[in-house]
Amino acid sequence: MDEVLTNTLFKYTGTVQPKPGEHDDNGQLLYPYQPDDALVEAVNLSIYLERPLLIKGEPGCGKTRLARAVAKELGLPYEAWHVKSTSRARDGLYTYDTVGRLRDVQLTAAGRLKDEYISRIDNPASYVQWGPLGEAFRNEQRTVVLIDEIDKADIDFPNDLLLELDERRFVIEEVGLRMEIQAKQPPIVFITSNDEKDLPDAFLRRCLFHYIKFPERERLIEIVQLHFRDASEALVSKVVDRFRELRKKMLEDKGEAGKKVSTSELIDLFQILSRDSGDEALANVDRKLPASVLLKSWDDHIRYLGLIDAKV
Amino acid sequence: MSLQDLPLLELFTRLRKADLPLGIDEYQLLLHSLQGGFGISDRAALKRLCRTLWVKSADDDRLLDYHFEQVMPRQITSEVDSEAPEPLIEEPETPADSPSSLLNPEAPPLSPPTPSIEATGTSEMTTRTEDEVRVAQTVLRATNIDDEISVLQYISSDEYFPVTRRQMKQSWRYLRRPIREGPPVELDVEATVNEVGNKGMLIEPVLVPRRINRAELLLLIDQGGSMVPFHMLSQRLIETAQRGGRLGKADVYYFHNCPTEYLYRDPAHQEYERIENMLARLSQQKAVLVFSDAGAARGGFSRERINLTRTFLAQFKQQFRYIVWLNPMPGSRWRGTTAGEVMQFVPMFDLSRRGLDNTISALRGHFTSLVQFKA
Repeated sequence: MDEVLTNTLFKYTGTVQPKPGEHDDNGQLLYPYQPDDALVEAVNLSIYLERPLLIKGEPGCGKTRLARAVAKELGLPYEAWHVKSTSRARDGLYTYDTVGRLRDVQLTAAGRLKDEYISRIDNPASYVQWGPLGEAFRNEQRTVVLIDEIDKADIDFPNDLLLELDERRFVIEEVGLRMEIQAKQPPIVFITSNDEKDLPDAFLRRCLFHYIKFPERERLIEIVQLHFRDASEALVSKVVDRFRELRKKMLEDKGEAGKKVSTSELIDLFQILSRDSGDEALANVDRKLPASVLLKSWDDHIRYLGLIDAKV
Repeated sequence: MSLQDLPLLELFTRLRKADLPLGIDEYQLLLHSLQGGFGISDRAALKRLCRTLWVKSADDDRLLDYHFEQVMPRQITSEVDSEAPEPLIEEPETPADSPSSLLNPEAPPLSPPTPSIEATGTSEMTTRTEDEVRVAQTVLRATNIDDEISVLQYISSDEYFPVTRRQMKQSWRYLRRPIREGPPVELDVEATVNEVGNKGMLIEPVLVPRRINRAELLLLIDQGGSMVPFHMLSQRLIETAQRGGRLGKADVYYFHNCPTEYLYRDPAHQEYERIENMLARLSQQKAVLVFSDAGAARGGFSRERINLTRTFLAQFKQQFRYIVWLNPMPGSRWRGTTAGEVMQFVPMFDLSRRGLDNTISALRGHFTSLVQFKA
């Protein structure tokens, strides 16, 4: 009964946007996020089925931003786990400060530790530091967890997470301690991948999958307007058109695999152009576009500089 | 057709046969989602649901697309709008994978066609031409679908090689040489305890670098001529070695028939490098895998080729300890050809699951029998 209640409670719509300049609890600036309907559906499905949602898409299409946007709209706590090449699966659950404990014991033996610290040593659990997934499991509320760029880690990393994601429990096995942590509420897990490594089949089987497609013209305009609410419509559509022109050319040359300008670069570009006001900005679009925002390799520089130069 | 008797199981079985990694869990997941109210609004929504639940890659997507079109009836009305009239003639449908239908879940591809007949007039003449146009359209669509089938059937039997991608990846994983390298991040408990014992006090924990796989592979691929039928296979070997495995590094070089003075960096033999220069550059730790039929495909016997191969192998053996030959032709075809002689100098295996596993263990330096087929 409880489960049904929580499932029906959370429904992501993708329409609630933060106010301009709004910050989250950690002081991070919140950005508006405009998902397409298929993505919204996939998110709701993942919430309903309590399965992780694996998100792929080209760099800069908003894979990472999604989790925070969902957490913001549903008013749920948010935990981010940015995977590094040295990350181990256990780091996301907890780390045990063995060295700290050893140090405390040493200092006590030397008689240099205050009493309140000494009681800490008797309780092995006090040396457990929770990772993002561990925090989410312990939270009374359903928590949105982002596992960012899972493909950066070792190839065994996803497989090491299978039990934790499947049964939502893990065991802390450290000196004199055997603690089982069972999730109080199933977390809402988003996993992003840049496709640098293939993920193992056993892991894929447990995930729902969504590929974020590059937005169409209308949606691009919507996205820019969401980020820059007081921008003039003429300017937005002009910038979007020039941007799409560049992207189309890149797509023709490089095919699906190469690095192309993406949504995040469009927003950067617009930010620069909108420094000037009104007509001046509009005129600037026809002049040279800022190359440093759009062309990120020497090869691109040589090939596309002509395209972003002034139109005669 | 209502939701209850949709051929979902049939779709599921077909996808399983097409090698999508689906289990009974995944099927239940679909039913569960349907009960939860997902994917019941129209056909496109159902397809989106199946895609989210069952598809994990672009290849899978194509398979789903194909089988979904084959299995699912054109008209699906859910219980919600069961009063919608059954359209008599199918509306020429937008391709299901077009972005517009994906973006817009409310797109009603199943709505009955507008009764254009009445609109254009009631004369018999017009009606007849209308009918003829419809017939032509239907025929056209039917033939189009046929074309699609022949193409897609080819795609769906993508894994027809003796070793599938997945098996290749699994085999590559055994090729490892773990070495501690990189920043010291792992606690060496034993050394730390020793330190404490020596100094009577913990001053600093002893950290060591993490173990990483430093197995390096040098792939030499025979390209062109008798190897043309195996190009797909060699590409797949390269792809799985570079992406799927946990190899430190996999270098690929190409040659034709037998490497002599030069090796090529690209399959089209455009960029070349002298073997001596290449050898000087590469570390000695590499394991070398040669992928070539060694003349077994055409069944030729060439003394010259044997000598050339022997020279090349001798040159490589001076630098690399493990050199293994992988032959796309089955072992029974080697005897009496150049391959039968070449296998005297180097461990040679055929490309089967067992052959590939043997290759990997030979590359790791394990003992393997050189005799592959019964004499």
